[in-house]
Amino acid sequence: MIDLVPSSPLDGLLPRTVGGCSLSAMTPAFITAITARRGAQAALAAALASAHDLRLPPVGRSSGRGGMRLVWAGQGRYFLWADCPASPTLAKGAALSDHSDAWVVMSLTGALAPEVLSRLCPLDLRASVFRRGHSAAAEIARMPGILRRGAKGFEIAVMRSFAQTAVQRIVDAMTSVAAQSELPDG
Amino acid sequence: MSRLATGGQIDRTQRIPFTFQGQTYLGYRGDTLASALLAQDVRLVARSFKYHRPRGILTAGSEEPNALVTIGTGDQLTPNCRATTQEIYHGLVARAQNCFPGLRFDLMALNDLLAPFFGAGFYYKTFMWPRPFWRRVYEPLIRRSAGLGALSGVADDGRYDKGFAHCDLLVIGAGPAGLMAAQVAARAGLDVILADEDFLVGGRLNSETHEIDAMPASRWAVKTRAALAQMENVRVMRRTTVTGVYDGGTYGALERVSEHLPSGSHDAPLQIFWRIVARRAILASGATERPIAFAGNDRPGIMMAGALRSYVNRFAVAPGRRISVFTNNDDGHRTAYDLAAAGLQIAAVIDTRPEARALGDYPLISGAQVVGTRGRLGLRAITIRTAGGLQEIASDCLGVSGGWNPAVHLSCHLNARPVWRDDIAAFVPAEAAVPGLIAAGAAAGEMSTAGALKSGAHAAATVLKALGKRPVQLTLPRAEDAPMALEPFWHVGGGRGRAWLDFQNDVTVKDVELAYRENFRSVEHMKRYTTLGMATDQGKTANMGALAIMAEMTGKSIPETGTTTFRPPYTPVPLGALGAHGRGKGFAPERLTPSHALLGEMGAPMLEVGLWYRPGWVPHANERHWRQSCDREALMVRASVGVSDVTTLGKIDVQGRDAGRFLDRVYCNTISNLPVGRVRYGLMLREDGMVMDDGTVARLGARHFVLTTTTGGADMVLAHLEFCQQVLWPDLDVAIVSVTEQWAQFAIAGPKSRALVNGLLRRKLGVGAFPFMACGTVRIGPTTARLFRISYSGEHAYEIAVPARYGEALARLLLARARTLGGGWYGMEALNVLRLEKGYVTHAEIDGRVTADDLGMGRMMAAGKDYIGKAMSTRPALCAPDREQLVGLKPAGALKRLHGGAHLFNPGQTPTRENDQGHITSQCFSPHLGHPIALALLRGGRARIGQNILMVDHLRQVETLCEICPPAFLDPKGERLRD
Amino acid sequence: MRINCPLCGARDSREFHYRGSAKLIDRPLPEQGRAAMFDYVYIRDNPAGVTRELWHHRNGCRAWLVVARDTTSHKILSVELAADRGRVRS
Repeated sequence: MIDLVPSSPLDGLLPRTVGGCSLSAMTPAFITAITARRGAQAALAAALASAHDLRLPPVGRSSGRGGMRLVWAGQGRYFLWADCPASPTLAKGAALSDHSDAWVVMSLTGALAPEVLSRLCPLDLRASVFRRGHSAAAEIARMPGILRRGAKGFEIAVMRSFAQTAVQRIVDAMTSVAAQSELPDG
Repeated sequence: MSRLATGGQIDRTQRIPFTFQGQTYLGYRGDTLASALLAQDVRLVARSFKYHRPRGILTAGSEEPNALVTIGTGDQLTPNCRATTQEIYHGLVARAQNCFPGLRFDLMALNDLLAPFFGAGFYYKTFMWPRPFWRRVYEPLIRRSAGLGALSGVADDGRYDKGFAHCDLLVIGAGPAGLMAAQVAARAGLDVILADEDFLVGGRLNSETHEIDAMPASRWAVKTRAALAQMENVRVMRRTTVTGVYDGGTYGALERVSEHLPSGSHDAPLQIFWRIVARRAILASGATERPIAFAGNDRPGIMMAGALRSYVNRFAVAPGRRISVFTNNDDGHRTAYDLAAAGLQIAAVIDTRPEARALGDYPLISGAQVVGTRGRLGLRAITIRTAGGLQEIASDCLGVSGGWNPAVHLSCHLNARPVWRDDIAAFVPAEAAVPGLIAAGAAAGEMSTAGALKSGAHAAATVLKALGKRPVQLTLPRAEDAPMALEPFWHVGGGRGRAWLDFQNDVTVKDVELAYRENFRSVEHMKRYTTLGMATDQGKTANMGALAIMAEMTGKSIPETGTTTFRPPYTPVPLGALGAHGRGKGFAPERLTPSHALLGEMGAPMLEVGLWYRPGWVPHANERHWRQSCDREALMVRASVGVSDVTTLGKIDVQGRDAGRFLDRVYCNTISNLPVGRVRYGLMLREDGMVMDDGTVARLGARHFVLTTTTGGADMVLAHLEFCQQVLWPDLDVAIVSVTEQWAQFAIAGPKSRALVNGLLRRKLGVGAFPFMACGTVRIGPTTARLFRISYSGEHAYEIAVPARYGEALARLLLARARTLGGGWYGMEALNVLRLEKGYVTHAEIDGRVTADDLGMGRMMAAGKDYIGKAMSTRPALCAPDREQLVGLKPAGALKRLHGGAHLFNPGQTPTRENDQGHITSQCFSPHLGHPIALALLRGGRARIGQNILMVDHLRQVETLCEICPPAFLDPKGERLRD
Repeated sequence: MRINCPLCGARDSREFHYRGSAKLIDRPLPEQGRAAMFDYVYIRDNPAGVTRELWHHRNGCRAWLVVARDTTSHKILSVELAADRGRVRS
């Protein structure tokens, strides 16, 4: 019987560490795009609560804990990052679409991570503004993506086909920032 | 040697070797190239742009017009660097520009003798006869004989970066006003960015001998910077020029990260171009000293009076042995005072004001002017005019001060004009010229140190109030508070020789007078006619004098005359910094398909399709030319089987109770009656009736559709559908999401495609099952896949989609299986041949000007429903029979060349625009037919099948007689599709 | 230029795509005839002053927005979700 072997575009590219900053893969096992039906927000919230013990996050936020995160990504659009598939009961309030293969998610940590992101992303990522649990649909090095501040650093999601370019740009920025921080302070 | 024994903010423990004009000198850490050269008695550093006059260093800042040098070697060679801002580093290589063979003897100084021919606007009056000589002789010669630096001619391999920063307050300039403002704001808790173009903070404080709180002002600056650096909410950016003001509180800034370090010693970028978004900003950019124009005022050794203080106080360099000063204000006297205190000899201070008083014990000549100078390669003497007549004074260094211009530039970038203040005889920023920006310190006309400190604190307090923050009480430090005492004096009349205004572009007072006489009297006209203010320094030391002189001549006041428009950038920004990362592959992100690695292994050359990379063809070992591969692949598909990666085509998931109804409104044909498990070709129109994109619609469930789009149209179609859903019909129950990336999709085409597909599936397709245009879910081993019986080649074909993680594995499997069946991979070129042979269209045909009917698809337009584009498509002109319609073409004569884009004409008619019958949209060589074929849009084409038409390629001068035929060259009934 | 997306907050204009006049919101019904559709597709006012425009937050939340902007000063006066302004149709 044919058994196709899965692969990730991040294979062999990550993890990378430059000057105290680390970029590693953290693509969740299952990603589901949840598009709320018009007028069915309450039904969706109820289904999320009963099926996954999750609450619907407000605009620009994420909810959940451990292996399950619900990330706001647009008007009526959420991504469920989980270690299990989304419950079909969510279809009561939303259209569901499997996106487990469509995205790669990376984690950027380290003291200079905010400086690295400032070279890639036009967003206001100051800790006072973009707090833990906040999420944003934004541009990362000219690629559409989703950014989230997690407990340890930033979570960066880009579409699969962009993975190689995204890693390159982020690592370039890590190198540039690290090199600048090592210049003599004259 | 002109280095003073003590003093200066240089590190005498760090000696730094550098070269200028091939000669090695030593300087100290903290020196600029200018100060280091002056310390070594090098005063001649440049030849001027037009007349090649010997020039020296005029200023100590970024406004420098004269001392432009070329720094670096190889790809890092950078022309037009100001010696006054370039920090020296170990091994720095600097060369003078625009002189041959050298600085001391420059052949092109001949231009200076021909000066009468090169006045303002000369190219409208001279060098005009004979006419052809201008373009072929005069202009090339003139162009080569004038100029600044030259580019290296080598690609710039430098590292640049770009950055985005956000803050509550951007303080522009770290002089006394800026430092004070930053402190006040930071202590109150605002996020502050403090930017200064210099490598030391302190601004003018580093050049003066003032005290703040009973300590040298420069030390106060250092202390304040240290305190600010400790604060988490402050970012001090030195070597960072805020270059421009843009809408919405956005500021551009250039950070020179490593221009002061030897290249190759680090991996940091050379520069970073920042976009800073600030809720508020304080313009504390200080003021720039302006000269007085007089005959012979451009010799090496003639400098700004304030710059002399900079060289002595900050760099411990004596700029000359016998110093004189020419001034119209009290500030100029400070130069005599400070230089005398440093032990230098003061020849005289010449003050235009009759009532002038000396600040110390030096010779003062009041009510006098400088009317001439001597010393071609360096100042030797000045001639002054008093009530008693002319007098020559020996002097090798003259400091000139005509007053100070607040640096208003940034406040005018949103098209405001500055406001004139009579009390300081200078322009200051207009209030509210830039929303959210306040000026402070000398930039606002507060010329004393105490005034600057107070003004900076006040500006910060205003910002805090506006942002709803409580200010923290800060005692203002004590500092000097001398009033500005000046009598405007712009130029000395009656001298012998030219009086220079714009040193960098070699523009004189005479040129401005000429502009006036020839009626170029508005400042904008004068600027363009004389080129004053148009060089890399943007006339920072020239504009004020010129407009004051124009005001005098026109009899208008200075505010009535006004300034020219200020535009970013404030100082030059390298294109490399603006385009950071944009070189080569960095120009755009790359989108890679699941089969990318596999195709790379096979050596397939990649074509860019938007951001995607798709293989053109897969070369075999013996193939030298792409046509060999392409023809082989096309034949292979029709003979056995071919596999191709079609992941890049847009795939859009549409779900909801109203999904069918929604799709009926966006496609011109009916979708809602598509049975589950079937696929239909769909055409989307624009609202103006033109075809927007074509693709397929597959119905996977009662409320579930998957659309495909062309690769290039994917983003546009998705945006269009979102527009329809959110804006036009928000009450429809429909959810739209792109799934292009979720599924890896491959085309399997050819007579053996079914065999190949069946070899993969857990449950084989039965005979007669899965007819043409069927779709459904299948299994490859444990993996769920989607199968579509659709064809872009005209052969019996499928597309199979698996979750993208299995894409690479499936690609390899498909290739292996295809090879066992006598087939293989096919790329974009063959794909194009196959579709062309069948008359299928792409965006070469769908060019935004064609209707469904033009493409022969008029019957697809459904009658009984409304859809986007329906109403406009019924306009008579869009239904006329003589419109350009899709046809096929094949060569009818001996010459068989068909060229895409070539136009079509009736044989016998002259091939002019009036006789144009249409054009070829795509063409290829058909290996199945053995000759080139083309698709074309031809007027009334469908009625002309069988006739001849002449292809004329006006660019390549080729004419080919063609026969008009139906677009489908092979299997017109589509029998191979359905077998 | 910065646009204050009602969902995402103030963002650089590079994240947005300009579509055209907000007139596009009110698509004529078929019964209104071809002339009305012609006007909808082609005819525009071009004021030196406030215009209402449709922008798509393409590299962000992908909301369609109605932006009131002064073409003489570039000042943006208001930004609303287009979905909130659409006509009710079924």
